[in-house]
Amino acid sequence: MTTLARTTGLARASNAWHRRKPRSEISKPLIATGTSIFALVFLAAVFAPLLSAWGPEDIDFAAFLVAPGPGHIMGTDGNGMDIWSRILYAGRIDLGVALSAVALAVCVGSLIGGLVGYIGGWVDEITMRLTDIVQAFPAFILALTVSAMFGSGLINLTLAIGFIFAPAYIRIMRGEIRALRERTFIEAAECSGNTRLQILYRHLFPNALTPLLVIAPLNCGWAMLTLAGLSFLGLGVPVPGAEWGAMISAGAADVVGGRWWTSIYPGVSLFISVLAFNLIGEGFLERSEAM
Amino acid sequence: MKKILDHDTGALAPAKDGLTRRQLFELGGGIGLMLTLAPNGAFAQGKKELVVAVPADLGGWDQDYLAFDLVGLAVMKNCYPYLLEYGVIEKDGARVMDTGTIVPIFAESWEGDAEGKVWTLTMRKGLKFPSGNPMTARDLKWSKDRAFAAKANVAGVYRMIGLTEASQVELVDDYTVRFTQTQPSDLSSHIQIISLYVFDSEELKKHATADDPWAKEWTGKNPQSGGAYNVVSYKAGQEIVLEANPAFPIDSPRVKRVRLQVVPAAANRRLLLEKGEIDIALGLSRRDIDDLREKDGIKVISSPSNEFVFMPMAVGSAPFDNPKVRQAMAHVVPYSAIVDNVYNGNARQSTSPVPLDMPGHSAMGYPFEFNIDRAKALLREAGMPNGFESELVIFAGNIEQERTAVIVANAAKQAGITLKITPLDPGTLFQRRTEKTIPLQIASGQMWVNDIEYLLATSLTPGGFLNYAGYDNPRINEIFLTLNKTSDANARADLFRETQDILAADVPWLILAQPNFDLPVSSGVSGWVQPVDGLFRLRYLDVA
Repeated sequence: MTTLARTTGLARASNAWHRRKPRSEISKPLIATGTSIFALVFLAAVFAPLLSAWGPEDIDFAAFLVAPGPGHIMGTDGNGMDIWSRILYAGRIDLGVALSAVALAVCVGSLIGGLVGYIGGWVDEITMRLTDIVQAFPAFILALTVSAMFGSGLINLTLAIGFIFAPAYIRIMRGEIRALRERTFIEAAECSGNTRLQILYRHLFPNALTPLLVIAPLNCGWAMLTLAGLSFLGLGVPVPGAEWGAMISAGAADVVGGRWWTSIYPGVSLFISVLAFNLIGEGFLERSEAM
Repeated sequence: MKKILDHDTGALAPAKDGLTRRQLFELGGGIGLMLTLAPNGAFAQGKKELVVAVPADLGGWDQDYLAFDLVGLAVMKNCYPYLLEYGVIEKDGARVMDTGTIVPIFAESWEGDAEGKVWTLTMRKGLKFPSGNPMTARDLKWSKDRAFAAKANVAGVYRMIGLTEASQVELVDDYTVRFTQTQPSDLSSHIQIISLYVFDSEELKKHATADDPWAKEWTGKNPQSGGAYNVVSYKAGQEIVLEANPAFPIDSPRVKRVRLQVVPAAANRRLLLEKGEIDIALGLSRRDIDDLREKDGIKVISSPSNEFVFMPMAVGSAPFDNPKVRQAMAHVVPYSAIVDNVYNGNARQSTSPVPLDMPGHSAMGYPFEFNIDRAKALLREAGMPNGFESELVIFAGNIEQERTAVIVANAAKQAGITLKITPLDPGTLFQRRTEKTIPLQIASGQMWVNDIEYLLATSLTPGGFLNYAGYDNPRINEIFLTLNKTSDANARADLFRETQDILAADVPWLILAQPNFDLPVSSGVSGWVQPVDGLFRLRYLDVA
């Protein structure tokens, strides 16, 4: 009863807000804010060598676990490494793995989903049952299992995260293709003498991509959290690689001793980056629903 | 079945139903007497239980196959009946084990013949295991037969004192066992102190099978009792509860009950100690321990230790099969940075593979210092001017090892050496050590017998179970065999010196540091006795 009331209340508040502004207008600030934050993080990662005097794995033997100050603006960790520098360089890994994994999932997932959706029949059935199997497992546990099986390392992590996201894209693409192939413009294309491959490539894929673009930014945020989670458990980037999850994990023990800077700064970096992707994703979602 | 305290043995013995008036008076009188003799009486001990937070469950209950894990080292010496023990002396204001004094515990006497080849052990009479089975020389003989037949760790160390076959351990009668060594040895008593523990053979035989005649599987999984403490409760992965053994034949344990609680996160163990909910926190990082020194209600028991941290290199395979490469490695380690930053200065920098404080230690055993230019020159001489790549294996979750590895890898990079740090879980680490597939690793050790001959036997000769480097030098092997037969102090000292000269040239290990022993405890804990072997003796502890 309470849940229903709360849900209804939230829905009412949400509807009221939506009534005030059209969805297409809501999407603009979301996308703009998200893109700005992402651009900031991205540029900081790209220009890391210019923004920091230290390399990500350089040790300052005179400054182990020092608090934020003039020499090290975010302090140093237990290995005497500059946290500001590591956060900047970690952005390369976190953004790189997240974007690569999602790109991989989008490419592989949409290709397989498009083909099985167009071909149909037993190929479609088998593929869907296989995606059912993969999706039956909790995503993080699956990523944990895959990376434990194949070992840590950036390529393996990217493949593991891409693997757990791909089934969602297969399903979405398949559904879109199945709906589109019954449309009259496809019949017209067939009558015009286009081959099946041409129809897929020229007419079906371009029209089915929109939902994928909505989900992809959200998945980038999840991919970063998954990577951070794997690194936190020691299955991510090898020691002493700079990665936000690994930095949070390494610094967690120091927090009890009052050395908060070792974990808090990478945690905030991760939060801001995931927020950026979520804002972009939400923005696209609002825009697509307005169309 | 009802049981009563056996006045002679202290063990629980079957009782007749009901108490006679005479027994009642005797019991009342006994209680009065015990209360009068408060300090050493059973009822004066154990004002409360001692709670110890440990990072993990122990690696197994079979003392013959001790996993050398932190919890195993804290528990085993307390729950197995050991027949002999070192005495205790005051030294520099601390209580330490005295390797010059041997105290029989479950044994009545331990005597060698004039030549030092034949040793006779007589056991106390009337001893019983907690199961009710009598503890006799038959159990001791069976225990040593098991060690030889099942190739236990004990069989490995026994070879040092010329005990290589079960037939050399003879059962004379129900209370006497005779050990006939092939040669006399200075280490006989020291080796026996760490080796003479007894299994409840009648109990183990019940669990033996055709495939497992020595009940290794059952023993590894089930708690063994009969020492200073009995294990009264064991919840795998959660908790071990020990209770003082009323049948312990000498000074009763001060604390009646010890609870070892598994708390995996170091931060939680630290917080529990700070809040006063536990008395001892095991497995904290050096930095945590240093923070705790400042806290009220907590003290850190500290003393120099013979534990040494080292990096064995696989001398049998490239690139570490080249002594020049090993010498180059010895020059890329920033030793003082490790002592200062990993151990916060609570460690000593050793100058030999033979630990500081071990008799015969020579400062010339490891003549290396941090010098990248010298390392590069040695690499050029070795035909590797561009350096090389290697794996550096560490124990997963060990923060000191991880920080040491990061510092060493960082320094090695300056000489063109790329070290990929691989943390391994205990199971995989053990397997890879057994298979000898680790090129470079960080390890730590503490010799249970403070003698170079023991060090060679366990760690620097073929067959030594701690010979992670796979080191096999014919002259060192010869020296070890000579030491076996040499009792003359001067001759042994010469051999010790020669050993370290050879090791200084061969460099099978990188000697990183010798950390001090630091144990954070609540301020109410007292009575700590510093062991020579790193094995805790909980029976000396008291808690307010």
